[in-house]
Amino acid sequence: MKNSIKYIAALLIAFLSVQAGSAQQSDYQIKEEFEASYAAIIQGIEASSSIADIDSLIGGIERFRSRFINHYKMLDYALYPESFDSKIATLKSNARSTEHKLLIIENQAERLSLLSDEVTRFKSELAKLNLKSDSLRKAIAMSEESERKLSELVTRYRKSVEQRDQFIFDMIDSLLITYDSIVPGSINELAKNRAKTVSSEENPLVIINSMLTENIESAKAKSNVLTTEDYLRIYALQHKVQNVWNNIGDKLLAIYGGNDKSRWNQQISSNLRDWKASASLSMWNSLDSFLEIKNVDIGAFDNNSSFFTALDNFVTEATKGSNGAILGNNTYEDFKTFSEFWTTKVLDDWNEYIVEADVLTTSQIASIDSKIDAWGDASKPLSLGIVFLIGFGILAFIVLIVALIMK
Amino acid sequence: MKTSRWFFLVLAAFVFTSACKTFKVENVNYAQQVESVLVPTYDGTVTDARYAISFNILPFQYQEMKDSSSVKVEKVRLIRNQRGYYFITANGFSNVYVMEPIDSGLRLKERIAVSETGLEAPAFNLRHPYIQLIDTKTSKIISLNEKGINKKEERES
Repeated sequence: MKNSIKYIAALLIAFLSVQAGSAQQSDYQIKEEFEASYAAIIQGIEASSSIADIDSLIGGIERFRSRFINHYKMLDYALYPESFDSKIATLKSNARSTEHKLLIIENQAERLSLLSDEVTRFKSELAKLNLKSDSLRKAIAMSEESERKLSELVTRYRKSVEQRDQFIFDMIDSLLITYDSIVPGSINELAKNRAKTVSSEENPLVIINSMLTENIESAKAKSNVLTTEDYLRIYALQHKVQNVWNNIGDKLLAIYGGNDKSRWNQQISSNLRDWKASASLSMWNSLDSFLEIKNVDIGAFDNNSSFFTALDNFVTEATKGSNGAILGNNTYEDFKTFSEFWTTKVLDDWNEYIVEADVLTTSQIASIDSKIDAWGDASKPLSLGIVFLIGFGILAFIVLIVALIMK
Repeated sequence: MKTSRWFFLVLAAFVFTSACKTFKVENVNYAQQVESVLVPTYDGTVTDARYAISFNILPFQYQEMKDSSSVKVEKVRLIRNQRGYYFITANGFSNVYVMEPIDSGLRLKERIAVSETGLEAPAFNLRHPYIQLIDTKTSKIISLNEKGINKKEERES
């Protein structure tokens, strides 16, 4: 901004000097003055950091043109291979292009400024939620209360963690929407402005890093009161934060990283890896335990790919096993158990997180879903009515044969 | 037969050389619209890349200061009029040198005395058919052609 003002002042001085000296000027001097003023305007355009600056220069270009228009023939000759008109056209084109760029930057700067306020709010809100969750977890750990009281504490804790995670989902969405739309060309300009105006309270890198640290600490605390759904949500949250960082991390580092871009990048990337490792381990262990409690043994799995393979093999094998059984209903009971897990959990309660975190893709879910339908058809036992009806038919047939023989 | 062949060859050579001597293009305008301001190198050479001329300023400096041991001229002002004569001067010079181009050289056509004390900040303009000399410090304006001063005007701004 200061530079810009300096150049505009230089430009005005250049104009004044032309006018003051115009009484006894040589053509060469006029050409020199033209070139000096031209260079001053170009530098002014390059240094412009606000719409007000560039608007003032656009007005200056018109005055500049009027000042030299009487010398255009001489200038066409002196400026060869360029010309008076081509020089003016270049100034106007540069000014328009800078004006366009500044409009975008000011618009983005305004949005970033709004987001800075949001980030401050995020930070205090997140701190409150973390505090609440931590104190509830500690209360549960030290609780000597009755079972009813403890259950109440656990419910409140789970609710608190869920609220905090939902808050992070929303915050990450806000960051993504704002920063993903930033035009790469304006990042340097925004970085210059942000470096001066943004405090650490408003720095998104600070809040992302602190959110990661909190999550890693929560994961290390290993609370045994969270459910599989909670672990799936945390895993999906990590997945989302990772994706958002992959998308806008470079922009955030460029705008807010200052001289510590590399340190910030290293720290956040490392925290993301640690969080992923703990969130992943907890989620797969919890899912395994859940299936074990439900008496569904699909075999070993510890990642997305092995989980899908285990499910697919389990359903395929169970369908094959059911094809020979007509009267027995053991396989049908297995089917019902699995089908309940699949319908109430995978397709309903957990679906949002399973899809969000790519635990299973929608096509994998659809594939297993159709195989489960086939398993259901194959394992469904015949109803008692039909069995009685068949028995009665056979009995009637035998009676008929005996009657015919006796006759 | 042999004589007539020699006669024909001599006639052809005569016609050819006559044609070469008489071929010329008239109304050529050599005028340079804006003066060149040239900075001498350490050895006094000035070069105008646009108009493709290069010469040494030390002989001019010697004419003015009787000293060509080192370059004392800061900037050389050079302009060419419609007839192809170069007008050369510099800060501190009392004269404008009108030079005509010759084979690998410049020959003095006219030395025009323009200042008794030396020009302070000279500059040339082309103001057809004259070359206008301005001393931008003193606001003195003099119209020149290759023969000398056409008219002298002095204006104080």
